This record gives sequence, C-alpha cells and structure tokens, in this order.
Amino acid sequence: MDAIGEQSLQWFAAERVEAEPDLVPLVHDYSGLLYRVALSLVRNPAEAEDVVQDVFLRVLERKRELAAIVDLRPWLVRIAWNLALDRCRRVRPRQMDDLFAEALVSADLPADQALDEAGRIRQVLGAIERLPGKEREALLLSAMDELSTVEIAAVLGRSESSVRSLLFRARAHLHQRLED
Amino acid sequence: MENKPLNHDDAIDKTLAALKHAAPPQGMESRILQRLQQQPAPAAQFFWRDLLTGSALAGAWWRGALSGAATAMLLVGALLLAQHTLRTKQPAVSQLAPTHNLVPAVLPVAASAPNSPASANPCPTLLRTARAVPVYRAESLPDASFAPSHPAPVLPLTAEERALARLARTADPKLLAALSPETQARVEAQEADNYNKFFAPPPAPPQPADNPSPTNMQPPAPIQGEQI
Repeated sequence: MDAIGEQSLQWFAAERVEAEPDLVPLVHDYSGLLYRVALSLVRNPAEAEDVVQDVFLRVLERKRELAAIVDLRPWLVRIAWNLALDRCRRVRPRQMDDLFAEALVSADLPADQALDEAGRIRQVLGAIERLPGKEREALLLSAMDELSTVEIAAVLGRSESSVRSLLFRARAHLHQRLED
Repeated sequence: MENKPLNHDDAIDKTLAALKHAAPPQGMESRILQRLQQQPAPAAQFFWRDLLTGSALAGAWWRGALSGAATAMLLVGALLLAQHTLRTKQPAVSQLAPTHNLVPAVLPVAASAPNSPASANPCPTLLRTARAVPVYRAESLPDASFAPSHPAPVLPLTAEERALARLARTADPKLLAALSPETQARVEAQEADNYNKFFAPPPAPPQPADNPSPTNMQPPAPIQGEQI
C-alpha cells in the first residue's frame, strides 16, 4: 500500500515538474521590460520594482498555467500594466514628476542643459498625463521598443488598427497641449 | 516660431526615449529571485483533471458528458432534498386530519323543516348540494395548531387613522386643541347661541297709549240694541 502511494506521489511530482517551467529565466528575460512598462506609469523606480516583483509573484501563483500560455510577453506585460495602473490609483504620479524627470535626463549633460532638459521632459510628462486614458496607454506602451503594435493591441485588448489610430491621436493631442 | 513644432516633437521623442532606455536598479533581478524563493510554493492540489491528463481517458469526448451527467445528478439531488425539506416543514393540511365524517354543507330542505308546507309538496326532496365539505373539528386538531406560532402581525392603520396620525404630527397645536370634544361642544353651543340671537324675532315695540296706530285699532264693539 505504501509502495503504491509512494509511486503515485512520485508520478504526480514528475508530472508537476514537467508541466511547470522554471521562473529564473523568466525573471532574467522579462524583468527589464516589465520594469520599464511599470516605470512609465508609476514614475518611481522603487514602485516600479515592486510592481515587477508582484508580477512574478502572480506568475508563481499561476505556475501551472504557464505551459498553456502561447505568448508569454504580452501576458506578462498585461499583468504588469494592470498592477501598475492599480498602484497609480493609490500613488499620485504628479508628485513624482520632478524627480522622475531629473532621473530621465542623461548624466553626461552639463548642469544648465540638464536643468533645461528636465523641465522640458516634465512638461511633456504633464501633457501625457492629461491625455485621454487609452491614448496615454498606447503612447506609453509604444515607447517600449520590445513591444510590437500587435502586442500592444493584445495588452490593451484592442485591435491593431485601433492602436494605430490611438497613437496618431495621442501624438496630435500632445502637440496641441504642448502648444497651449 | 517655425522651430516650435519641431521642438515639441523633439521633446516628445526624447521623453519617450528616456522611458525606453530607463535602466532597472542594480540587483533588481536577484532581489526578485530571492523574494520568489521566500514565497511558499502554492499548495499542491489534486485535480481529477491531473489524473486524466496522463491517462488514456484524456481528450475523450465523454469527459464532458460525464461531468454534465454528474452536474445534472447533483442538481436533481438538490431539488429532491429541497422538496423533501419543504414538505416536512409545512404544517400540512393533511396533518390537520379532516374529521372522519364528511358533513354536507347544506342539509336537505326536507330534513330542516319536516312540518313545513313544503313537505306537502309532491315533488321529491332535493339536496341543494352535491359535494361534501370537510369540516375540521376542534378536538381533532393537534394542540400545536391552536398555539400562536408567532406574535400576530400589527394590523395596518386605516385611512382615517393614518390621517389622524399625520394631523397629530403636522397640524397646528391650536387646531389640535380645537379637536377635543369639550372645546368642540363649547364652540357648537356658542354657534347655536349666536344663531338664535341672530334669527330670533325682534321684540315687540312698546304701545303708546294716546296715539294708537291704525293697525292696532280694534273694530268698534257693536252697540247693544242696534239692529242691522
């Protein structure tokens, strides 16, 4: 009886290991992208790192389903995006815009130029913040080189053409707001 | 002025590029991996699905049918249980035990008045009802059926009571005071008094002795002995 129980336990364990991929390569491959995705929304490095950590914790909880997911990247980005949006509701990004803009400026620039650059980035970030929700999301995701339009569409739950149209409108609105 | 749109484009591109090239903090990956290792692995749960995954039954078309049949059986069982519970909870009319004999609701006409003129009628006695109505006798009912199962619900107010309650809440205190029977009786008495005063016949004017009015003049008494 014991032998049979042990055998079936081993069988189940073997099945489980086979079905569940290791998380370490996932962290190596996707943590950078997920960090940038989260940072574009929360605008705080520590918060963005927390979001990435939360993403992988969620993945750990759903480890069994990983094998069934065809395209991991949009799936992970979508989780990160939703978690970052959720965090944005609690933390106001405008309070962080100043520090964030300074952090985005290249360190090689002279101080006066860096100040000017930071001011301009802050202005653009403010204008992005005032964009309609979907346009803002499409524009921020388009900033990530790793994501194609198809993947952005998958993350936002829209069609590819809709994403293109959103991007066009976002640019136009951004110009208007910066000129005002 | 012409450079302005270009500046905006440039600013937008620079901002987006800055977001694109943002580097993750040092040691982020190791911190995440450490956190993942600390996290307890999700409890291994046994699913029947797992059992079927590796077996020859996997993918069999009847897996769906099997689960459907199981669900249907569960539903039917729940339905039967609910019905049974309802039946046992109801103070069933059948439990009230209708009396052993069924009494006709209306007695035959002939039986009710044997000496009435109707008995002289050559027509046969007719029963007014053909059906029997079960009569529940008090002694046959269980005691529990007489005991109040719960306090009787408060009866709703009638329209007049509601109007009175509304009046008591909202009306002027003077008006409310006027509604008392004593006050009303007093008011009515005063009104009747006023009415009588107003419509009472005016008092007769005093008659002066030396100036008789022609209306009050009496016809002269006939002189005795005068013949017409």
